[in-house]
Amino acid sequence: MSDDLTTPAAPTTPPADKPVSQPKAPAVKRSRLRKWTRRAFIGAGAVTGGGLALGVGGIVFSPNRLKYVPEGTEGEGHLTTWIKITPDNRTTVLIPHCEMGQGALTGLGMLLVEELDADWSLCTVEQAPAEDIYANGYVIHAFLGEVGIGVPGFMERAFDFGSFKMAQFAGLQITGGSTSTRGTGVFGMRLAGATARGMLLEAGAEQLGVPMSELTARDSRIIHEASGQSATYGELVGRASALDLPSRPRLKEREEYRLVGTSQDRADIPGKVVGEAQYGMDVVRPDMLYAAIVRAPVPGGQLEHVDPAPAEAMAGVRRVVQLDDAVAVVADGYWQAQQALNALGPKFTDAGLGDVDTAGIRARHAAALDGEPLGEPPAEGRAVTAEYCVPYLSHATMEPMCATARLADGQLEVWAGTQDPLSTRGVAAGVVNLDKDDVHIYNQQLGGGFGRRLPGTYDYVEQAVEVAKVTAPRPVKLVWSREEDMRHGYYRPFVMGRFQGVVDDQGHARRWASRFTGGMADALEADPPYGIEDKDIQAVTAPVHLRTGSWRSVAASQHGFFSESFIDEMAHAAGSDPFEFRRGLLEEEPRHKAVLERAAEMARWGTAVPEGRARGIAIVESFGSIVAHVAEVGIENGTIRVYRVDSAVDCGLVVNPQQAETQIQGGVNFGLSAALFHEITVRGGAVENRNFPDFNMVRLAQAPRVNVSFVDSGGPVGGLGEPGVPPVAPAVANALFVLTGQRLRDMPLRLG
Amino acid sequence: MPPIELPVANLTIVSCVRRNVGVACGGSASFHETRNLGEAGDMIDFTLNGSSVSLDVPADMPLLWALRETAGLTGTKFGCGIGACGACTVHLDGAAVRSCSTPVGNVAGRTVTTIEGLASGGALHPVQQAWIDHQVPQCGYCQSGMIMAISALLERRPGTTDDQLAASITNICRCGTYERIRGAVASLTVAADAEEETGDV
Repeated sequence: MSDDLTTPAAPTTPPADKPVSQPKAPAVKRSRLRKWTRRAFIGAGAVTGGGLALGVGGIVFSPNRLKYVPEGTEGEGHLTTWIKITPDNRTTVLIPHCEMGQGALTGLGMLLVEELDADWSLCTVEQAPAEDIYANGYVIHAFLGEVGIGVPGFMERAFDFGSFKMAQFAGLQITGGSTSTRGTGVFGMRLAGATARGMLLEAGAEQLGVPMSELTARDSRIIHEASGQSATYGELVGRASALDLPSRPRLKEREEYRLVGTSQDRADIPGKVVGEAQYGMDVVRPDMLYAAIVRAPVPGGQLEHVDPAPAEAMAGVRRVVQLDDAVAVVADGYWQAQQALNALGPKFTDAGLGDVDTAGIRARHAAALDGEPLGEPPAEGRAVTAEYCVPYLSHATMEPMCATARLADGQLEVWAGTQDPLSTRGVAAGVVNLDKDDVHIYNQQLGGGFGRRLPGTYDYVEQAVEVAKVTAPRPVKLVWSREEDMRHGYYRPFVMGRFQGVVDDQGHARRWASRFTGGMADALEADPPYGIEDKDIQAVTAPVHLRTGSWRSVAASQHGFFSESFIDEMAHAAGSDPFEFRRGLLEEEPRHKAVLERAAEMARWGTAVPEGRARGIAIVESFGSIVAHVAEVGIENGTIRVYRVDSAVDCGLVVNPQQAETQIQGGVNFGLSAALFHEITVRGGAVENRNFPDFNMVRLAQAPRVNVSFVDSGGPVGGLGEPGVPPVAPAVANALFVLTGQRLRDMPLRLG
Repeated sequence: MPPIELPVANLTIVSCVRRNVGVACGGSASFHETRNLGEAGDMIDFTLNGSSVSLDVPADMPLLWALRETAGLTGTKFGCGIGACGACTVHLDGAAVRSCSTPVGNVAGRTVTTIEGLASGGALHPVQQAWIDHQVPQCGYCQSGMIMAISALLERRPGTTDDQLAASITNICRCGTYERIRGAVASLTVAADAEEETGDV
């Protein structure tokens, strides 16, 4: 490894003549944080064996350790952060995000390669390992740019979790909140690509002996068109790596894009169709043992007593491990471990919550709202009131929680799929009181995330490490049964909302008032985009019984359902067409209006539908993107059937159209599962649901046709993983009202 | 029926060949040798991805765990353990079965194909190729089972319609890739239809 790698590592406050790029804050609606307090800093240098390495660090908290070399890569002269170009003219891009199937690696790589003007076919995109140097401060700013001040709800979990301090806040390596493309991509990857391109242009000018202004970069080549000379990036990296960084790397304008905006295949897919992709579940280590576990079914419950004898008598069983709140069986195979666990009759306490059930939870939420009445509506106009409610929801990733851990020689190794390898390391270190430097996380592909593998939710890692203390030095793979996974989630919160709207005699909306259980952190999602002068929106604290967390689209999922159902109620009360009513209230929101109109146009809103069907419309902004769905709904044999969904999306910039489309399509099915089926219920303080039969999913037979169209607003880059979810349930519910006259205000939607 | 090697280009579903004669398959490199770890009589003998195997496992162990932990083939996934989600789908004598609910003792003397053995002669199975062409997987965890279920269906019914697909395939994809699945399957059944019409088969 060459020491040269640390060449001009700019400090967090670089001198004026040194490279500083300060990306502009995105002009997101409602943003109050226009000035960015950070400085991006860039380091570049040579790698052993020749080549250019270039990294961009973020913001004030970011570690200034560009000399860092990942373990085991010393001989390769690995890049420090994000980009490496080698003499064979190949480019490697390291992405500090996890691939959960949302195409983040490909999309982010495209943003960098676009600015680099490299040949995409010569580029390799890899996921960065869990090391501090990859910590992604840009994730945080993708959020702060949107909400302005305070800590967004999604990030609150990081604060809630004990091991995090404010100063470590930006040290997360998170994939969540649809931030990958918004944060890292726009502010990090593009900057890295543009900087490297600038250096290659300068090197090209030296090598070809022509002015830099006469050169162009294209397809991994610096070209001097006047003379016909050119040099590949690979031929120039040696020279480029000795250069100072360009003072102002120029980012392309969108109309200059050649790669971004074209559909590119994802690199992870071939491995996923032949069974080679390795998920956390698939980890195999030498001498590995397997563990199954059952935890106290009531949150907060403790293990009171267990007789290990029945399990220990069974073939292949190594050990019964008693934890404070759980019992695990270690065996030579997972099935043997689970069978032996089933033979045990552990007694757990119920933490005094044994009388809690779903009806009681609902009553408590209602009582909390009773304490904050909506008040009397104004005398003039027609008042509409309604109460909505959504249940707890499980993420139910296809891959149940699992982690493999090995404790030996004062070192802890963990193999697991998480949405934030860095904070996973902190959690694991805490269990065994080791320094974080002695803990190594090998992140695996995620068999679904959706928020279940975010910071603050690594109980499965903690348990695996606890069991590894017993099996040390042998590694152990802890696998949750589906039943355990269903029962110990970090659920989408149970939320109740009460609404009051007023429509005047001319059919105009005059007032919008709501009270909902939850926190004011959700106020942004609870505030619909409609231009109604008199808005009164307040959160009310309600007791939380189960563990809650971020569920794909987070607060937008419940508030989208509430707001878009209730505005529909107001439209009908006003005697207006629901599409026209909304459109009339979006005069100040041209992006929303354009999206709403596109969806209506796609669905041929206002034209006849096949007999027995009806259309419903809904529009929700979340994670910087605006999505409107029109659902065409019918009833077959008493069952709700959604035939098609026309979806219009304004996500600012579409990086990889085929991936953008499939994220929205997936979001529709995810949202539809919640709308039609999902309800986590509680009895005796414990979650009742056990497996897919009682937490059902949309399958091919229920999956609607989904047509997606992108509205090119030129707006800031928005997310795509989540924004397809929130408008689904209200669009379906609104269609059902037209079809049946029943206004369904509880999820899942059930016909009376 | 003698094995008939059909060119991949005409998109005929070729796994019918494998079902009957157990030809060697390309993707099963991680388990070729016969294991001999226990007493005679404790062993479960069957054909796995074209090779004879003999596994020393309890007969009531689900096939899923014998494949994943004993045979070392982790492409077949654990999702629910009760046959509800289909992530563990494999072919047993050519038919799709849920390996989490199939005791390994039931496959003795029979032929099992997993996702690792679906490709043949160095060429991907047409369903696998269509999954790449249509960029179907997202997280991908369910897709081994999805591909196995659909490849078995198309073999039995090459002209499967959308409605038949929906009625037959109950595998869960939590990422919600169903639209892409339909498109990929349609590309295969159109090809099959075309063959029938031109009499190529």
